[in-house]
Amino acid sequence: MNRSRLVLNKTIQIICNLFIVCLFTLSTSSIYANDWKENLRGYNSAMKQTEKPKIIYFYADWCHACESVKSEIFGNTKVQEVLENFAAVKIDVDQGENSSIVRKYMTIVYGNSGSYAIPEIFLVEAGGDRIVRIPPVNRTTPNNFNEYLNKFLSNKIPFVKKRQKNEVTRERPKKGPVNIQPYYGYMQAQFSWQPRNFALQSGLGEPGSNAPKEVYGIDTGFTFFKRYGFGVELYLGLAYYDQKIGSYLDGGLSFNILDLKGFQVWLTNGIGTGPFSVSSTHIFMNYYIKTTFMIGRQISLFSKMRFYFDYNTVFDMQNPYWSFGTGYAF
Amino acid sequence: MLFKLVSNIKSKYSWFLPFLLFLLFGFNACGAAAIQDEIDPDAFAWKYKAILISGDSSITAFDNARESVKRLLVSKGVKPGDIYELSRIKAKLRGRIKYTTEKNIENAFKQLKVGLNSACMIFMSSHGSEYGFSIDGVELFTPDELNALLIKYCGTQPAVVIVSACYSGIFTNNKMLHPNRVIMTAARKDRTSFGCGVENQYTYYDGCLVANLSAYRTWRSVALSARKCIERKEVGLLPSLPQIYIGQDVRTLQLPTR
Repeated sequence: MNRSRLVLNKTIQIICNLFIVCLFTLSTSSIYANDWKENLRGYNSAMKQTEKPKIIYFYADWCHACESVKSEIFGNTKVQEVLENFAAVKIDVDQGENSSIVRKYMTIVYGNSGSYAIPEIFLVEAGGDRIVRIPPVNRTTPNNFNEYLNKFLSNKIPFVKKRQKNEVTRERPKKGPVNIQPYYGYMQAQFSWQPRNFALQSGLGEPGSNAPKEVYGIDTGFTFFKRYGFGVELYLGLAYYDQKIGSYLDGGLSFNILDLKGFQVWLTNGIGTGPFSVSSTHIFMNYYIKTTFMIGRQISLFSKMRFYFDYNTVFDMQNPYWSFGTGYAF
Repeated sequence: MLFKLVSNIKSKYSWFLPFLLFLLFGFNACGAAAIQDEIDPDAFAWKYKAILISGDSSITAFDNARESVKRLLVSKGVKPGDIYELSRIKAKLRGRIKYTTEKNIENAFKQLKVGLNSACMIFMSSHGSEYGFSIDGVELFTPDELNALLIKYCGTQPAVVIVSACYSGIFTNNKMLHPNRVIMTAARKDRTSFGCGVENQYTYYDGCLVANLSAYRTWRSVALSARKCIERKEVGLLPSLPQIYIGQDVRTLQLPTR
């Protein structure tokens, strides 16, 4: 009985000793096996080592991902072998003395917003101060981290300029509302002087069946050079949009491509801007095909098929709109 | 008759008609171009860990979106165990789905356990104000709070943040714009978004997002196509102007793949 207890005690003692040895090995040799210098003093001393490139690791105790970098990357023996070629510094971002170093490096990546994330790892060339940031995708495994370090050592990683602004892709629509139009379909009374040469037009717009509600327009315009088969059109209008009234300008070139005894087809391409005071600069281009039937010399019926491009949507094509109207020529 | 028509056109404007046709149809063709999925063949296959939050109990649209996004993520190979869900509708609180509160959102972040090959995805759908994401009007989850959680628990790993709420553009403030993040919001910071009616299955933005999540392979394409979809839906409304931010680390970030 005593003997078996003695054997059991001995076994437990051996296991405990082994466990302690393992813990000691892990804590001292496996993680941060390299000669890591720390914080401001360590950074300054590493920077004096001009013969070696530097690796600078920013971390904090509260940072969850830093634990993974510490154990999986810096704890890896193959990584540690490559790190022998570097002067290694780790910077605790929570230490007040490091604030200037943190600012210097984080500004490169995060700009001046004051917000940054960790872990971040930077490489600095030997004998210089050109800096490379290691992107997260290059530290997903010890192997690809080593690959990146080796590329750096063989000068295959392009340097970024010191304090370079973070290059980001900001996908933003231009300011101002999109998809608005002064008016879509409209009923228009047409007044003409010298009908084939010069026309004064005035119309009250109302939304077509497929047009946004609360968009009404009234405009007055001129058409010049109509007798030559084309017209230069210029309109000044008022649009009621978003419960506000704003003015707009619209103009363009119209070309009469067909004229058969009262049946006319006009192609127009135009550009307009507005409604002012309702939105910020809003520029639109529109193309429309206008078909006119003259009834006698004074009354006309016309329809327009309008293609509409909006500058604010990067000239994205909107749905074509049909509009119908009548005109009366004096 | 036809001959007369053609000769009439030709005689007057033979040079100009092709030019006009080019303007009309050439330009149209440019404008109507579809979004190209810029797939990087060498892109790393990140392992996604997701938090899906619906923050309001007044309508089911927010929860419908959360559930659909979950289904899509699972169908794309994300493990159900790596998806943490929060809802404000008590009837939905079964299994791992927790009640949406700020504290539970932080708890969900704590459980993410982001590794070096992990990417975070945060989807939030609810009402919103100019100050934050509304949790049933009881709590307000602000961009600063979300930023702090992302920094602490996702660090510099890729993170996709989708906020579907009125005024959600506030989540693209300068502090949020980290290079490892894709941020998509349903509206600009000064605009409302639409589709919060009882009759709606999804809000407008959630509907567009769900429709495009299965159609594209990169987040960039999903974001751009969702924005186009919104533009088509919002004719006649004051546009919500969905916001997109794509950091330099994640320009070609792909959706989860099996």
